[in-house]
Amino acid sequence: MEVWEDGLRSLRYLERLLLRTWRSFREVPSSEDAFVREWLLSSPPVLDEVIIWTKALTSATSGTDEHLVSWRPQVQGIGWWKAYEQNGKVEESSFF
Amino acid sequence: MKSEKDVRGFKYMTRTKSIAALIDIVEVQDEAGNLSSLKSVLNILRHTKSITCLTLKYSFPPALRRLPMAQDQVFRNLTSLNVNAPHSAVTLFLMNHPHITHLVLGTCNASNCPLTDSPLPLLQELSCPPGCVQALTSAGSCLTRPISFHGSPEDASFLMPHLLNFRTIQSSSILTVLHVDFHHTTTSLLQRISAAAPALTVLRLTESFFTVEVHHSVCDMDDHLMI
Repeated sequence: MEVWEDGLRSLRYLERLLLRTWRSFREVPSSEDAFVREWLLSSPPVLDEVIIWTKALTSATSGTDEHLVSWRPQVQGIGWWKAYEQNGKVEESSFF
Repeated sequence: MKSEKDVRGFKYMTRTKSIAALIDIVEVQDEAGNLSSLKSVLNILRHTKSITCLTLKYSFPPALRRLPMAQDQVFRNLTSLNVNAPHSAVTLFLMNHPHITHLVLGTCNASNCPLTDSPLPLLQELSCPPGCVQALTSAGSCLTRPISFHGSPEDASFLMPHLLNFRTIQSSSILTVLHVDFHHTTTSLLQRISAAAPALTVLRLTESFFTVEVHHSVCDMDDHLMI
């Protein structure tokens, strides 16, 4: 976890981060959100949007468990909020 | 052109020199990329010498894929090339087209990419397998948007640390956008990316499709985020 956070912090000019993985971070969505919020505390200062697509499957499979969240930083204060969330089949166009 | 019928129609149209001279973009894909259409595509490209963008998406086995035009044919205005032929098939073509700014290449099919030292000084956007990025930028470029993807299991077997080796990717411009297919076993992935492209503003990471062993698996992501 620290390795990831250190790496994220080192991308000092990063404004958008998109991450697509075939797995889920946590089995329960609420735990996954808490997990993401935790490592976003180490985000670079100008990071403005983070899109996380977990359990992403191929177009050939039915991705009913897919989960995509667009995170945005709080305008005031520390922390991130969910600007957009989608469960179920995610279109490729959401990941740009 | 998406079908053989499209190819036939386009071939007929380009027989008229004045029309052929006006054609700016040629795209061959889907059924039009079948082996049976290759000869007609060659004929079309003989006449469309003013093109700026060329897309050749073949639909037949990679071993048979070649550029349909003569190796020494030059399109003076060509700035964008998207082709899914083995890289050895495009070596001379790239040598003859130094004005290319946008390049999309498919699977390399060679253990050492033959495109090393290809002179592409104006290259800005590159999409290719990870094992070929260094080869294509070794001769110098003004690359700002490299995209490295895994188009095949062979690409996925390329060890990402060879590309992201804690050294800056060579470019005379500042890399601001990076798309990478990653393998979950790559250690310190973000640190490697930060070293390769320290001024990055947009980063898109996609876990390689070819790490099929992770499909459908639900596992503890602490390991995953050690990347």
